[in-house]
Amino acid sequence: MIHLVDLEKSFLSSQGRHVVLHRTNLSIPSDMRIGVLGMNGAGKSTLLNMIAGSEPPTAGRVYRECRCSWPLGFAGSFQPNLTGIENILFAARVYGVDGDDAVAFASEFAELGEYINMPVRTYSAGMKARLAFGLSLAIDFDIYLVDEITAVGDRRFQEKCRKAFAERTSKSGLCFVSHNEANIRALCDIALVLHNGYLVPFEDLESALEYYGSIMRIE
Amino acid sequence: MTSLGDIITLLEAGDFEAATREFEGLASTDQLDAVGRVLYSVVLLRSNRMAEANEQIGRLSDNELASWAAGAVVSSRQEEGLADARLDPPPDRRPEIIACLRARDFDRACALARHHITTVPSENKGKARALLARCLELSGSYTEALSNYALAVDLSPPSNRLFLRAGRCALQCKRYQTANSYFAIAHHFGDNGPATLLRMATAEIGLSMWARAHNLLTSALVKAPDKLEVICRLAYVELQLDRAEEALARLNTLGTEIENWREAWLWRIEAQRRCGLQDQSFEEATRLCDRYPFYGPGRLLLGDLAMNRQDFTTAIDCFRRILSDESIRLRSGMSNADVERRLQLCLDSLKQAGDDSTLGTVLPEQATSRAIPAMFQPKTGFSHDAAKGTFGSALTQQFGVIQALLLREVRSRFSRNKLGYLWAIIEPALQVMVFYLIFSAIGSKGINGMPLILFLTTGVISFSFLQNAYANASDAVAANRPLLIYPRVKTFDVVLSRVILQFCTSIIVLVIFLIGVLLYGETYPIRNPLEILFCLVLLCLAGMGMGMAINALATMMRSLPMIFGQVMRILFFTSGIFFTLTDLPHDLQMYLQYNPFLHLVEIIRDNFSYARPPEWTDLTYATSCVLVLLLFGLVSHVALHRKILAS
Repeated sequence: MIHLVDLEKSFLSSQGRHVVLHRTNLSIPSDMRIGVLGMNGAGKSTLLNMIAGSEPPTAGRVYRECRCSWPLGFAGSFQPNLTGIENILFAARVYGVDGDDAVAFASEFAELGEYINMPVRTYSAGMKARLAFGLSLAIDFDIYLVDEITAVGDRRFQEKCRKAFAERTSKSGLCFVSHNEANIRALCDIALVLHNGYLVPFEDLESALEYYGSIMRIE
Repeated sequence: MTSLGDIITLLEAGDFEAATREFEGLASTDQLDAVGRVLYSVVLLRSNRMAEANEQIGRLSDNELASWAAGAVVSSRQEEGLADARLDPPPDRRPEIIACLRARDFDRACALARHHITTVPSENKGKARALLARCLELSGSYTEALSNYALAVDLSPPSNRLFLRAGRCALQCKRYQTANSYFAIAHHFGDNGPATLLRMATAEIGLSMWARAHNLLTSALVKAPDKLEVICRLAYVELQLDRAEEALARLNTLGTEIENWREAWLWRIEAQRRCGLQDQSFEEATRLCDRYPFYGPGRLLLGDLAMNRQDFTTAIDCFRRILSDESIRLRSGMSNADVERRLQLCLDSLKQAGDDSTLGTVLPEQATSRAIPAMFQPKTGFSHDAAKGTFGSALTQQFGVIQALLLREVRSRFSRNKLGYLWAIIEPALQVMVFYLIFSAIGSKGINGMPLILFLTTGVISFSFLQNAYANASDAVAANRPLLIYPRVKTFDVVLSRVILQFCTSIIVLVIFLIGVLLYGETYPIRNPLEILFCLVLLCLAGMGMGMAINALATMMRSLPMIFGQVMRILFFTSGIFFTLTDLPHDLQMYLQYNPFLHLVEIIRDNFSYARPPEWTDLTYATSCVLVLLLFGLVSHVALHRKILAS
């Protein structure tokens, strides 16, 4: 379980205070495939970063009763001057995993070939995403926090990721953040909608998608 | 007035002189277009009037000239190879090319046709050229096709089909004037079919010659009274001529058939609007948008109609859709700024009316009032520390992070440049050398009974602990930003690991230098290694504290690191690197002895000296100063942590 306790996030901008998340109290099950729907700029990535612990909230706390992955997203967690292997080894050391196993698994999954020995700055966005996926799957997490990333890469790779997650659902959960209804539908069992600073939970996927659709029509 | 068509008839009849005269007439009044010029210059070349031909060619634009010249080169090459060709006539590739065209393999057809032109005997060149142009046209390279048609027109007997196709290409290239002249030739040769008239009208519409387009379309309509496209275009022209009633009557005859062609439908709605049929036009526009949801002009028209009816909700919906959806494209000449202006107008009118229910405040209210499903109900009674684990596991984790960061720093220093660690030695070596040369030149053999080289080495290296720790701590976060995505990696870990690595490097450098001094021939004692190490750690911690403080405060004041760079320079000259306090005048001593680093450098140095240590050094004072600096650094780092992360 991940518990959001009095969680709040806002930014100060020149136009005043901008609320990304109003005070929220929720408990999120960590053994399910959960989707968070929200339009561009709704604060989905910020929410995911707070859940992971990469970004501090303005108020409140997140309690994690499980091993959460880092937020897998476009921002990327790779040092551009290090090679793919060195970046894998770094994460393996940070998470206390055997380095050789991690390198073997991640490089096989990411299918980077020779590029695995090149600095990450030479990678394309798709290659970085593949590496991030392979690396996170090489480390055993209870819940994987994923930020729109499946949109990257070709169809075959997307299919591969979907399969890899499907295999793991028996023991691991997924928290997937996206603005794309089709992706949420394909990957998740249940969904929340983030809109205007409110994180709204739904009992089933269809009602969440319906609510999201009605927001889209109004905005 | 003669047209190009007349001249071509003359050329056909073999009357070169008459044609030349006509050309001269046209050229003098500047009525020749590109095709005309090319033809004229060919005529001039044939009658050996090179200078004038040259002038005509000179007036052509580069593109036209290039394509024409390419054709000329090809034909001259071909004449060279004519002898061979006569002996062994090349196979006729036309059927193959046409087969390719039928199979819609246009790229292959183009390639074959290009090759075909170079092999075909000169009497068939025109046909080959026309074929290539056709291939290009079908493959969508309209500009190139157009220039090939121009050449084909020059090379082959005039045919209606050729002119029509050339005109169609010119239409595609939006060169309406050229299209017009081609159609005029075709028309002159007696092609008065409704299709030709319609195309001519399209060219005129492109040139905004509404009246002429109207005439052409009317005559086309007489010939083909049921042709949908003619009727719609005619209505469009009438709309442009402000004859909305006629246009509407014309479009109404089409009934529901019009709904298959969204442009025509849009014109009918526009006509209805201009005729004052507000309700009907709004209704139809709604239906249009339902049927073609991504048709930008339709959506825009609906928005405008809604605005006129004071139906701002619908209007706002329309404009927002246009602005937010990438797949909705507006007609050319209409920009997003126009739409934004309209949207703002609607929003303002709504606010004035005091009704802001559509502005998006409804949903969150619903959101907060909804019951939270059982699955997501906030749970109580969970252990707040469960995820953290025991102190031991936290320590292992922390150790893992620091170790990973240390190894990462080592890697990137080596990979950044080949000098890498060598640089850590070269830099202080240079400083020591410069001071040594200057002091020896002045005639100094030693300071305070200490050999000059040892004196300078201990000073420079000691101070480098402070300087390097500061430099590493202040840009640690920036250099490792991507790695901070891992929630386990905190900013403080990054700073700490960098400083630890720097300390180890500097210790190695110190040892190397001390060995170097020994080899140089100077001997020295090492009195209290622990005290030396303690002072070096203090210098390092002071650098770390300053680096963290400056990095944190720089989030509020961008220029701070630059200003503090000067402070570091002052410290370099006042921390006793190349002097001792007692050498200085008494007044200066008063102030300089407040510099804690002066004390630390002096204590380190005295541990390498045979002489009795001076009495003014004060380790307690220096230690407390360093602790204050470190505390300040840590506090500012914690206080501004969010800003550091966000910067």
